[in-house]
Amino acid sequence: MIKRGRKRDFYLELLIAASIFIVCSAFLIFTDFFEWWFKYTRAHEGWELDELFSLVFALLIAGSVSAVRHVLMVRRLMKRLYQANRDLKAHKVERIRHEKMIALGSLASGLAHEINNSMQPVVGLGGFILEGLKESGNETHYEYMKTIMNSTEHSQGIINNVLIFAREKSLEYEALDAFKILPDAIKFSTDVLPSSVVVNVSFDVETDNHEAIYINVNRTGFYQIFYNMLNNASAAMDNQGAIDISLALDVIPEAPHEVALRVDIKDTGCGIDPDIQSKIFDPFFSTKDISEGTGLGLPTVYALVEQHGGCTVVNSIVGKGTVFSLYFPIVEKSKE
Amino acid sequence: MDVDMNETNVLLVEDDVNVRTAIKGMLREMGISNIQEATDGVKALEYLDDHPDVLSLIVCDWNMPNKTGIGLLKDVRQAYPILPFLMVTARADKDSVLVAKNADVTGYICKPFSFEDFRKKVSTMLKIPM
Ligand SMILES: Nc1ncnc2c1ncn2[C@@H]1O[C@H](COP(=O)(O)OP(=O)(O)O)[C@@H](O)[C@H]1O
Ligand SMILES: [Mg+2]
Repeated sequence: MIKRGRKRDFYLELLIAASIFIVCSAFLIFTDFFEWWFKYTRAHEGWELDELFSLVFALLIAGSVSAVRHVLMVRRLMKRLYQANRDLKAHKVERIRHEKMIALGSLASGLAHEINNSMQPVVGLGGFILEGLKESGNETHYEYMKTIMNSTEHSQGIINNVLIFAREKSLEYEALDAFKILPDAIKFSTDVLPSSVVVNVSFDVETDNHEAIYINVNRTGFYQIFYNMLNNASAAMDNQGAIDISLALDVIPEAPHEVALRVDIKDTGCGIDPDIQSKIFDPFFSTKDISEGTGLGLPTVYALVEQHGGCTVVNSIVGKGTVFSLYFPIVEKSKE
Repeated sequence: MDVDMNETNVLLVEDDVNVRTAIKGMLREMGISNIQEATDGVKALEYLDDHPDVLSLIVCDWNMPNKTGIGLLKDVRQAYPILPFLMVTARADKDSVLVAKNADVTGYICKPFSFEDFRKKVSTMLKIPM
């Protein structure tokens, strides 16, 4: 919109200049101005009007050059102004997003704490009832109780994700070799994917003598990142096709001085509509059926990767597929 | 060292009646029957004033009205520097654990915990052989 407006302004200016030019030249031609001027100056030789005319002409040239320069300068300034305006808008969007996240985070963590508290009787005593029912031989009630316990465990998983998203759960980190922890994390997730999904892993990365690359990792969190990513990729492809995971040495986009390991997770799924790309990291945003998605997968990944000191970037083309790039800062191995 | 469960006295401080009942149930399952209950830190202190030196363990919630678990812990430590004190709380963040540690807590367990985890924690604190 802004761009179109700017182009229109420019053409308008051009049009005005052209009109003035046409009107002026028409006036000069029809009035035979120069012939009259020529005669006039011949008739009044003594006035030295030739010189005066030259002066006026020089002034005219100087004026038009300066006018052109001004127009160019104004255009440059306008460009800068529009850019500043765009930056400001983007910044505002980012800030609103950040504030929304903080508000949501504190709401979610308050809620999660309350729920965790009231879950205590179920988690703490449920096991006894399960035991008792098993011993009593009441099969039906035993199955009921098992369902209750499974359901409890499921909600515990959700609450844990909420706490991770709200950065309320502290994680312990250790420096691990990426070439060792990555295959573990990927295997952990691939084991539960349908067999119609193939996960190709390529660890070709340029290192000095193929040395180990150390990243600070919380094992459980790291597993969860890949679990969520691979499940999303698989779902985007209707559980059919190939997911490619590859590595590269890179820098963190927002901190170009920090060297990072970039893990690309590429699928050939449905892609993500540009309109919803800004929402996919929002908690509880999901395009899936209520039974298939909680909308906590990506916000959890985002929070986890951030807690690992890195960041998450998405590139997607609708109908072609999606690449999620996860950046993990490389650390010096201190132990051993 | 053998611990006589009949001589084990536990003070359970928790404002939520359901959670209190649940933890009491778990203590009973462990064979501990001498359980005193208080609904907040102030009432717990009153009990301690009336019955000095009888407790083997305090199991205490963090978020409570009147006096929080951490407030109670600080007061308890004035008179009882080594009395086992188990904080049971839904707070799982590092800062909370650190605050409790700095106040000289003996044990820390996050809600909701399973009977197994609770039994292990309490047994270690009471030095009950497992
Ligand atoms: N690899 C992907 N390809 C296409 N869309 C995706 C992909 N990953 C995530 N999405 C979109 O982002 C939404 C949010 O993902 P997520 O937070 O994991 O929640 P959920 O998977 O429970 O819906 C999904 O509902 C989906 O629309
Ligand atoms: Mg998901």
